[in-house]
Amino acid sequence: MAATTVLPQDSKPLPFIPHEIIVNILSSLPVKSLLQFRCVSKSWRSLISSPQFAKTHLEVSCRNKDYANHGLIFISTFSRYCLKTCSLQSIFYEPSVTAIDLECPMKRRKDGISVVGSCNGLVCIMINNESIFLWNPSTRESKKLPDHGLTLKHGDDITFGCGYDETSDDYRVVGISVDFSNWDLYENDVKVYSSRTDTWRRIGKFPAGTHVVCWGKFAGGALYWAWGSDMQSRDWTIVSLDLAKETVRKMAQPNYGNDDAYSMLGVLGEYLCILCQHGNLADVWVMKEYGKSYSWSKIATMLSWMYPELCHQYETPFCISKDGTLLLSMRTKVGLYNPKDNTVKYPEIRNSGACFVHKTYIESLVSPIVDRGAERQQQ
Amino acid sequence: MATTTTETKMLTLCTSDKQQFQIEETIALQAVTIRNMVEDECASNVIPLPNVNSKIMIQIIEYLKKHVDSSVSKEDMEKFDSAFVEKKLSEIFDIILAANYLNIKNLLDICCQRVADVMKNKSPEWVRRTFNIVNDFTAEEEAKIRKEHEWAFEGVDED
Repeated sequence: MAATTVLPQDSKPLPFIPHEIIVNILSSLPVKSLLQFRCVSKSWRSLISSPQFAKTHLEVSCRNKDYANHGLIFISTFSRYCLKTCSLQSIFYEPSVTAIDLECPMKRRKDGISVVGSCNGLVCIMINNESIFLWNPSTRESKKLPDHGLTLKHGDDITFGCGYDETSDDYRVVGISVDFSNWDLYENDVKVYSSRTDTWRRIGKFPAGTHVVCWGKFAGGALYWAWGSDMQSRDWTIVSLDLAKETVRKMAQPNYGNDDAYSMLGVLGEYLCILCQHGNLADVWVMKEYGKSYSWSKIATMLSWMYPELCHQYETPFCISKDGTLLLSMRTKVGLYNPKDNTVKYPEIRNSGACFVHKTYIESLVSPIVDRGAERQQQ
Repeated sequence: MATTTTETKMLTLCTSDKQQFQIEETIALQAVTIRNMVEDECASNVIPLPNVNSKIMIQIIEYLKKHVDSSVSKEDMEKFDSAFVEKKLSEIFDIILAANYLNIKNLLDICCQRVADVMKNKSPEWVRRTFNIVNDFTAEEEAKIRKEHEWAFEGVDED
């Protein structure tokens, strides 16, 4: 720590600091410090615990484009399957970083764990393909969702996605089960969980077909799935679900100008992203305006022939730095691709073991539990 | 520097300790409070700033002069900002109050960030002392709150 000398007992007493300045200072602090400073005084505790402050703090954290307040979360095979985290900023800017274990709501050692997605500091995880949790790894608060009750017969498939509806200030998890018993129909059942009501409710169906990628991708108020005739389909369309209006829409993939392209859907930072492999190249496309298929633009081309790992890349880059460096999940490690000079660096993650399924999350105070009593009092 | 034929318009600022500062209007107008006073024409020749003393005013003018210069690159500006906030905390708080009064948003934000950077590894006791905050919890209440997030108290600097 470059702790420059700060004298708490300066020669003169501190002036009175107005409340809005206290809010400004505290909203620049890491979550861990804020959890400690809850015990400073009653007024500080109520400020730090308020949902309004959690929002202000989140806005300030999002403004930091060096990812100072972001973590990388991944599943590690170190001694057993578990979730670990490390600083996203260090991944981009330092040669090595040490991972720490996360205490997730998993109960038993042999439990299987999947990371569905993350949004505003809440990570959606699924344990043993059945229990779904909204979990804030920074505050270690978690909420087990009630049973989704989606109709699921043997051989059916199910996918989830998590996101946030700003208009109702509500965290949502969407579940879609696809009925494989009738190969021609692919009937599906779609339900939405609302953190505000803590219930699942059925909404309109998706087009016939099934998901090509594991989980729904959240960007700009909507969840997106690559949707095709079967799970290995190379010919898929994008299906979006607007979380506010609950409208389902089909959208075209960008025009790659190449028939022999193999593409996959993901999220890069806050944008919906497509990685399109053709020949020995891999193009990175992002949708600059949410829901507008004309706004697809190619932001980088990776020379995959230079790096064997890139030829087997089945996920889009998932994070991008200020200078355009792309963060990729490459099977058991992460890689940083610099499109300016076509180099790849592999930051060392100590204490990680083989790690896979990398996702980013922002450190926030957002609670997965909506305190409806407290909200009524505020109104 | 481009040569201009128009005369540079100057403003006179008068601090709480009755010191007068003559500065270019374009520099001073970055402070929204001064801009509003000039626009409302409630400022005559001398603009009184009763909430800012001359010691702090000198530093604020240094900041404003740098930030009005459009030839400074983004990186250099960031370097200037991070060097600018390398001050004693008591001084930072004085600048925060002045920046708040004068309504200079970026200056306020970098100073608040500086305070946060200093605070982040400190103990709650240090925070209470520094901010003159009285602990209004009973010992039992405080122990209970600490227990709720016990793990967050690891790795705190020695006071």
